[in-house]
Amino acid sequence: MPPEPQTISHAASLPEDSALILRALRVSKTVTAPGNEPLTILREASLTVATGEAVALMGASGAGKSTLLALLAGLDTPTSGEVELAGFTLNNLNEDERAAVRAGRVGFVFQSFQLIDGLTALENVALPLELQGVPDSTARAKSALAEVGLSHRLHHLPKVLSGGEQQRVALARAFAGTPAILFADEPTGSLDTATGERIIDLLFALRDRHQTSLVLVTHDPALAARCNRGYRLQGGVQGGELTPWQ
Amino acid sequence: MAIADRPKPAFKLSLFSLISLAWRGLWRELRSGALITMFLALLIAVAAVTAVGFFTDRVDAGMRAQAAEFLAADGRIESPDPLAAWQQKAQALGLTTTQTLEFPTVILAGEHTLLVSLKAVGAGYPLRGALTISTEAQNRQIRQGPEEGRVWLAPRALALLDLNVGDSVQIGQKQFKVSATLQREPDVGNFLAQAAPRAMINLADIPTTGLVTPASRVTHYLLLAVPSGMSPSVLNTLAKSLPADLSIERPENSQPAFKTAFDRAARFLGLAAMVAVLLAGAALMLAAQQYNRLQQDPAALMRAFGVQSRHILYLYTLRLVFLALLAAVPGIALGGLAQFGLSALLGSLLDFQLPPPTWLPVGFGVSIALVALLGFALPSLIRLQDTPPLRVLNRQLAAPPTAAVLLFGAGLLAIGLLVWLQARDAWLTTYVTGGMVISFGAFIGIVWLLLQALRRYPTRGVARFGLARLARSPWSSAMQIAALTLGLTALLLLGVVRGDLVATWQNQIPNDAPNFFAINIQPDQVPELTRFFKTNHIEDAGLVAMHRARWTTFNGKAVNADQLTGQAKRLAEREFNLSVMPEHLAADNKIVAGSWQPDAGWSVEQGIAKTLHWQLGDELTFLVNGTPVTAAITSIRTVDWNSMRPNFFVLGSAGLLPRQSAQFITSFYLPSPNVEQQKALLRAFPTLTLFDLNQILNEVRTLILRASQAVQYVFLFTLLAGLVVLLSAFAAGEAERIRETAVLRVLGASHRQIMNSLWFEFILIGLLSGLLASIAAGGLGALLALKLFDLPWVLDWHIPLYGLAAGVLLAALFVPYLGRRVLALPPARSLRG
Repeated sequence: MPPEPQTISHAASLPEDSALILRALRVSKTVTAPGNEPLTILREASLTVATGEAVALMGASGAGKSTLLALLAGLDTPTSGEVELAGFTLNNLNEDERAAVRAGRVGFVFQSFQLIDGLTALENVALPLELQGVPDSTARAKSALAEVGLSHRLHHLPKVLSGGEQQRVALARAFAGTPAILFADEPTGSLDTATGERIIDLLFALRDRHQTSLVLVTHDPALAARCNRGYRLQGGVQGGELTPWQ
Repeated sequence: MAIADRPKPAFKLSLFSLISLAWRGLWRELRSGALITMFLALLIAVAAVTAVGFFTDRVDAGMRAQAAEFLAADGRIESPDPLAAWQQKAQALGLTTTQTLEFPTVILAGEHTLLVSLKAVGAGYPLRGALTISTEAQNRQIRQGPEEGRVWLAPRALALLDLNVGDSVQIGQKQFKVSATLQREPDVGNFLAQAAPRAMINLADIPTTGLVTPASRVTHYLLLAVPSGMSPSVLNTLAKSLPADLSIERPENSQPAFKTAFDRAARFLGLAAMVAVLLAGAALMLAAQQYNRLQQDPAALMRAFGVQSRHILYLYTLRLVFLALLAAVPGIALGGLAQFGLSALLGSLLDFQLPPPTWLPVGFGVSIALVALLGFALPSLIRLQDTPPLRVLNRQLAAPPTAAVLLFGAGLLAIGLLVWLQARDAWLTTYVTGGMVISFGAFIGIVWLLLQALRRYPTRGVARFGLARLARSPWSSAMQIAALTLGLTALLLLGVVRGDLVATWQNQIPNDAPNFFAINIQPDQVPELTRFFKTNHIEDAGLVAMHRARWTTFNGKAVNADQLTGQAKRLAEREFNLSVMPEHLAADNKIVAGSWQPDAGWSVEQGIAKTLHWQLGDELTFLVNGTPVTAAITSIRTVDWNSMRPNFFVLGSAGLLPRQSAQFITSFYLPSPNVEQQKALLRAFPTLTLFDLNQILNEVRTLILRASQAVQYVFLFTLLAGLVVLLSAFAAGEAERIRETAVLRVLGASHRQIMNSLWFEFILIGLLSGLLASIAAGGLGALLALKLFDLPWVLDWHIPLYGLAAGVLLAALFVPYLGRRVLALPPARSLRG
């Protein structure tokens, strides 16, 4: 059973009656810079995401958005503070236990798509389904690719797909596993404006259809505005500071 | 959070899904080319070992099936004394028995005489197998010896004596009728039986010939067979009651001369195949490191998707196991085909049909593939399970490299296991494994040092960039160059050193080596015989005096043969042939202790000195023609028996041995066919006894030729494995190179500058590898020649030239290809990855 939710001092606009899928409490990240100097990237960040909610993480380059995303998704551990994802406090968990939390619950969309070169579009989408042992993984992957309009590109390798097409494959892959929460890291960062807009439309359409919670990292206020709520991450010498926005 | 609250993944990977994932992933990656080098390396390794495995397995099975025939019995007791008492005892135990006798004697046919190896066989001979005889044109198999009063002669004896079947000959005091030609007997016997033609009579005729007296040098054999239904352990019961100087020879340890030669050939073939496997291992190691780099992203993604680290390890291990099985199938098929080539080369040397191959080598091939892959490739992939999932956001992060100790420890273990599986010999395993490790380690060390030294050397432009690339990761550059060196060493060994070795080996017995020995030459015949040789243009090895003598005292004490055992006892019981030291040591003799003193003491051969515990300075007395002759040992010699010249275990100084008591001996060369010349010689010197060595020489020559062809044939696989090593060494780091080139091009480097930097880098790699490979190939060649083949070795100064040229040539072949690869994509695409 998940532990009782704890009080979060900086949480804002918390929908009272929704369960939380994600929350961070005073999360900091300090790394050792060259010359053995400690460097704080993120300072005491707190946030919440309710089930089904879309939350934007805004900020300029270098403000620590990707670092925060990694901490929230359990890809990295904070120096201090607590992260709770899908009812589990990640701090106490080792890497494999955090993987167990992610397994089947968390989806990703990356700025650089992260498709596997040697696999076709269909195989890339089927991979997480195969990992989950889904019996009809190929059929589901096909329908996920149909949802993003790529039925005609099933057997093509990533290198022959355009950037927009690659990101649509990545979206199909992310939603095919029906995750409870999706982390999207600058999903339009590698695309031109028009393509980026179509990708975002697609992302939100899929999210609405699958009722997926979303954490969207972006530096684009227009994009952030499409989310229910947002936080702004302000970079600084003392480390990035997170404040509610919108 | 309580332990019970530890998270469970929303899905669980079953063993079935892991297997299915691993299998499908394997297909994808084979298709995409990521695993093709590993696949090829494995295929070649498996083909090499199974080809040799299938063939040696067939020879072994054939030999086992024929084994009882080699003795014509299930067991045999050999003795210089009659064995009648033991025959009774064996019969009492229920064994079937018969006796045979063998000794050299001269048979007379009218004017002609001929030394033959006489064999008298008892009733029931042969107990196992059959004789082949012919009375007219046709051969037939028969399971009994000649009747009383009849003799069967080998075809050569009939030809030399101008006889036909139906004629008569005299053996000792008895006349025999030649009733058949003896084509083949199961238990061929010793050297003499091959040097002098066989005559076979019935054992019951022996007393009337008057040839066998208590003093005769006769070998008695008691042949034993276990009747069907009786346990073979009865032979052990008999063996236990035998005195120390008698033993029962069994088919499994009584091997025809060729069996020993074949065992040795099989071992060389096995090792040649193993060299292919070890080279494939080097290719696997490099390819696995490359594959490890390629798999970082998929592993990170899987980790981000929530796959447990141990499942990632299982996944890659299963994938390798499948790869091993997948490569083993065509590998075994290729090995199965290749063994026909080996059987064609060597099978004709056997006088039995090879049985069909068994399935045993298939299992061996699969085990080799698994050991090689798990030992050489898996350690490189083992840390993929620790790929940080954060790599999906930050590509700078990567799985930690496998500890060098694990990487090389596993490789070492695999090498040891592979060599042991092949050779089943702890000493050889240690030797080969140690050799591989030391040379590979030395290559890496030398290259590392050279790179460090070159890095300090001030360079500019393309040279600096090429060098920087090599020096930036000196460890992996050194490994690449070391693997390349290994491949080039194999190629040089095969291309140059092997040719030199085989030529030296085949020339061991020159084509015009003496092929006849003549003995029983009386002192007064010497001038006449010398003239005969001269007028008939026959080159002889010189007439050498030979004295029959008995060894009587050792350092003043009487020699008692009964206190000696084995070979020493036999030597002490028999007469020695002594000769006189020539003024100068013959070319085929070498002094290993003491000094050559033609006018003092004895000079003895090293082997016999060891058997009889003779040492320099020991005093020996020989009874020569009734006169005791005493002197000290002044030198110990080695003798090259391959020279086919008369040589002696014991030589005495000129003053010790009186010339008048001597007989003479010589060897000479007669081109074949030579029956007429032999007859002329025997007519001119009727008392002369001739040994014809042609048959033995031909067999030895054919064996050497075929064995060397077979080893070369197996080395084809080694060559292929060497090429795969080269391929994987050059291909290593291609992806990184493409990215770096893109950066250079963005910074404004021209095509020409990029190509120049590639040329610089690869010619340097080629030269370094070529130089090291020449040294290694030269050293290995010397080691093989001196230690393994016992051949003189002359350093071939072409080797370094070939080595350097081969290195540069490989660079020249590879750079244009690599250039096309790195320059094919626009820099932006390459950088985007």
